[in-house]
Amino acid sequence: MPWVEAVSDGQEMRRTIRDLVALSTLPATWQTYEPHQIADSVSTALVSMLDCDFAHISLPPLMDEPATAVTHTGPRAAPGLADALPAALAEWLPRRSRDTAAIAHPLGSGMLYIAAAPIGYHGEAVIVAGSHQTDFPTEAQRLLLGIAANDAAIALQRWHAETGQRRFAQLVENSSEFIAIATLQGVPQYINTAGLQLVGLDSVDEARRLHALEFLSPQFRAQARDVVWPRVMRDGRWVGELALRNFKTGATIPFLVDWFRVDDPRTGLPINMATVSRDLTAQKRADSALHHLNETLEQRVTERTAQLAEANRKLIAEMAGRERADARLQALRLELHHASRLSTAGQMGATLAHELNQPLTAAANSIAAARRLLQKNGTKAPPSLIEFLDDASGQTLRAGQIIRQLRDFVRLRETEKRDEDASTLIEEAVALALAGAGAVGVQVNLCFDPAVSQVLADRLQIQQVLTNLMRNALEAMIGHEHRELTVTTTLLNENRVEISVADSGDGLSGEARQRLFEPFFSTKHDGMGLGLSICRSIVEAHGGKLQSRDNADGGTMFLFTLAAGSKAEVAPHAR
Amino acid sequence: MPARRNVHIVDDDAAVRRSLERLLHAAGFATVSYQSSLALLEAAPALTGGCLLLDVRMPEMDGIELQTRLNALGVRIPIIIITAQGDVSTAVRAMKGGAADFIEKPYDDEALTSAIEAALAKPAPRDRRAEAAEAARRIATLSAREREVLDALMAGRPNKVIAYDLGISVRTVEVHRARMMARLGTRQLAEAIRLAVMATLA
Repeated sequence: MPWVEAVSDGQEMRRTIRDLVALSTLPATWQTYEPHQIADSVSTALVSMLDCDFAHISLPPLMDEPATAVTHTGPRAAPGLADALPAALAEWLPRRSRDTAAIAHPLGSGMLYIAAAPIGYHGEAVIVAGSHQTDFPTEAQRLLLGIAANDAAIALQRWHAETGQRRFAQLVENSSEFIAIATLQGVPQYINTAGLQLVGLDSVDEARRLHALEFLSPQFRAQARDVVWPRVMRDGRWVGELALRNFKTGATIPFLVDWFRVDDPRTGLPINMATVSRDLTAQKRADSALHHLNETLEQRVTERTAQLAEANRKLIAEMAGRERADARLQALRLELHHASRLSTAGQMGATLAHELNQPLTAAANSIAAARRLLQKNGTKAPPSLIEFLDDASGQTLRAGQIIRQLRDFVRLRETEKRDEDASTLIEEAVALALAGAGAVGVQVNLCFDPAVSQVLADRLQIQQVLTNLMRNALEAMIGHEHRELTVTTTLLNENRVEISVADSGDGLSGEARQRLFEPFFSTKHDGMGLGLSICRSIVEAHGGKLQSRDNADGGTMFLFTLAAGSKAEVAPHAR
Repeated sequence: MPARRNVHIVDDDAAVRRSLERLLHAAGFATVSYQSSLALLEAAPALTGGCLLLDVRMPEMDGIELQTRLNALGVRIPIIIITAQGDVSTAVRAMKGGAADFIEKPYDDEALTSAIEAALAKPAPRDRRAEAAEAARRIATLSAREREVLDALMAGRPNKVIAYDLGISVRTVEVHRARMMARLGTRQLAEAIRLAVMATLA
């Protein structure tokens, strides 16, 4: 090696060795240096050691460090060299074929002798030193330059590696996930800060005294040991939910566990178990809240649905109720119509029977009288006369029997009295009377004595009376502008209730008033003349009396009384 | 005592009045006729002896009301009410109002004259205790069921309704009714009713 012989000078040798030692101590000071500082340090040292005019280091962008260039000049360098150098070097460096050259001095005074040494293998990072001295670089200078380049390369590489590591470390440390590495035997080697906090440990050392499985909540340990661990060893990864436990609080923490095997990149053999697991507490809480919200919502939907269903049911019930009410009114109308027809027939029968009975009675009486006279002193009369009179008498009785049978056949229904609610009874009757009676525009007043509750009545019969009276009242008001129908109840005493029906019509004429209740008398052109007669019969069958009087405001008022119902009775003995 | 054989007839029907007068004269009674209840009421204070024959059905004031008025006026005279046949409730009211008897139209002349004879022979209506006690004694011989049937008949209920109410057959009602009549010694329902009403006065 020719340069070894050149360093034959002992002093030169000592100086070189001293510089080499100095250079070798430099990297120790670079521990915390970043690339620019390293470059700065190297170039400063070189200028002094090489006793050259300048030392320049340029570094390409490394990782996310920008490109950097450092130039230091020695005391014998021409002033302004540092500024002029970059352009000159930029021209030479990319084109250089050798590591040494002589280029025109950038400041224009002779030549500048330069030597370059690549830093690392990339070639883009380079140290360049230069001097105006023609012997530059000597072998010793080239040696020092090469070593400096190597030192710088190592330092930069280490920085590069450390930066990456630091980043990963920071990434892992700052992660909120539980990140841990363990040996294949399950001894924890590393747990990140978040991981330690989640399981309630203070340091990694503490973790190292435990087995990885101990981090799990007891109920998951067997599964982890017998199922998950072998699967990770076999497949390399297992992802699932497990619960960890907090060593301080004992709390069980749900985790989404990503559990994987770490293999040696060179040998491909497994070297570690590792996990990146996520605490699901918040998510579970959120899920639960969401679930609760959903449930609440569902609950509310259910409740609302129920409410709507209830409302719907009520509506239907109401409709049904209305239909029932309509049906009841319809049934009442039919019932009343039927009863009214029956009682008309009954009244006719009773009236006819009475009217016919009178002459028959008279005839029977006269025959009986004649017979008695003949028996007393009638020896002159032919004996057959008695026989004839007996026959006539028998026939009148027979006629009476026939009439009675006819009347019995159509007789007024037996009165079946029971306690009835006066208001309901009257209101139904009003509804019946107004229905289809051309009652539009009629003002209906119902004045019920609050003291009246029950009346003892045959509902159907009394409703028949009421509808009859109200229909009469309505008819009496036809053609009148002001039409007012007033139905009142009054408690006369504890046993009697008076009911009145008043209209605002023209009132009764003298003849009508006199013959009011007479059967077959009617002021209506198509009237049978039995209505009021029937009403009177019914009222009388109830132990009351039907009366009429002039209304104070014009029109007619009909009144009748009924027995108060037993429930309304104050003293049961009073009756 | 001719006054005691006086029959006061109240009827609005002239033909009936006239025929009654003929019949009663033939039967040996004296008669005074009134064409309305009001006419009788006017003459009421002067009434002495005899009996009153009242048709229940008259305009203005019916026989029952006239009876009530006479009671109120203190006129003591036996009253026979003439009702339509089967008008049980009116008959009951008449008896409760103090009528001596009631007779159903159309009637046989014998029934009428014997009712009048009985009424004339009777003490004044207010002194009927003995008769009432006798009626009560006879009513008391009835079984509970017979009594129920009688009460129902007095309320004017037909046999079939009574059967329904008591939960027995119509035939059974008829049997009870016949036994009841036999026990009371009556042949007509009217008599049985009269007894039952009299019994309540005891």
